[in-house]
Amino acid sequence: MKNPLLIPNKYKVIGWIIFLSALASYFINTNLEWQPAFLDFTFNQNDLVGETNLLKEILFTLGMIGLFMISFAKEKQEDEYVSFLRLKCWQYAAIISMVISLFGTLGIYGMRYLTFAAFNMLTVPVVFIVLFSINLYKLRKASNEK
Amino acid sequence: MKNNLRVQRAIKNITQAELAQLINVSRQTINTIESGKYVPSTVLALKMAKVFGVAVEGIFELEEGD
Repeated sequence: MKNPLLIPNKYKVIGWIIFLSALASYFINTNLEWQPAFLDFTFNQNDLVGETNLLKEILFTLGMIGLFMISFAKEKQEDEYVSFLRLKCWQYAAIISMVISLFGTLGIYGMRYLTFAAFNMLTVPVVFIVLFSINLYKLRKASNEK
Repeated sequence: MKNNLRVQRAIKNITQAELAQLINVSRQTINTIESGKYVPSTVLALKMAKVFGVAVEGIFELEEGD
């Protein structure tokens, strides 16, 4: 079964490398409160003018690209049962993300909501990757026991 | 849906891995089909029938409630 939306298997490793380095840099950057001066940036959007540093934006983008590669990379043997698992895990990920959005909207206010909303964008791919890995692990374990 | 894949394999004397290779899926997929956890696509069912030289109905059978 051919799925034109999937990318070659090697991107899984590349995706993990990009995602983990972006994540590590993000934590280092947050804890040290250091950011490169050349990424300072003045924005002007609809009369809202301000100063910011682009480091976080760049790391977030890299993190997203990494997660995209991990979740859309083919398995070594991508057959119809793997496609079935893939669909099931995307569905669960969508449901979980919607539930989190719902409770977040009802329970988080002010500037914290903005942070919550930004990180909630990552919920779908992150939950998908976790569920899909667990399912593949269980599948391999179950059929090795027999 | 019931299936007698295990019996068909025994008759032809091939392992799950060999069958998997013949129809281009993973051994895990054959395992989930045999244990009734997964209903294969028509394409896969036809490929299996071809390997065993029987009709699809010779391997798969509807159950009550299907």
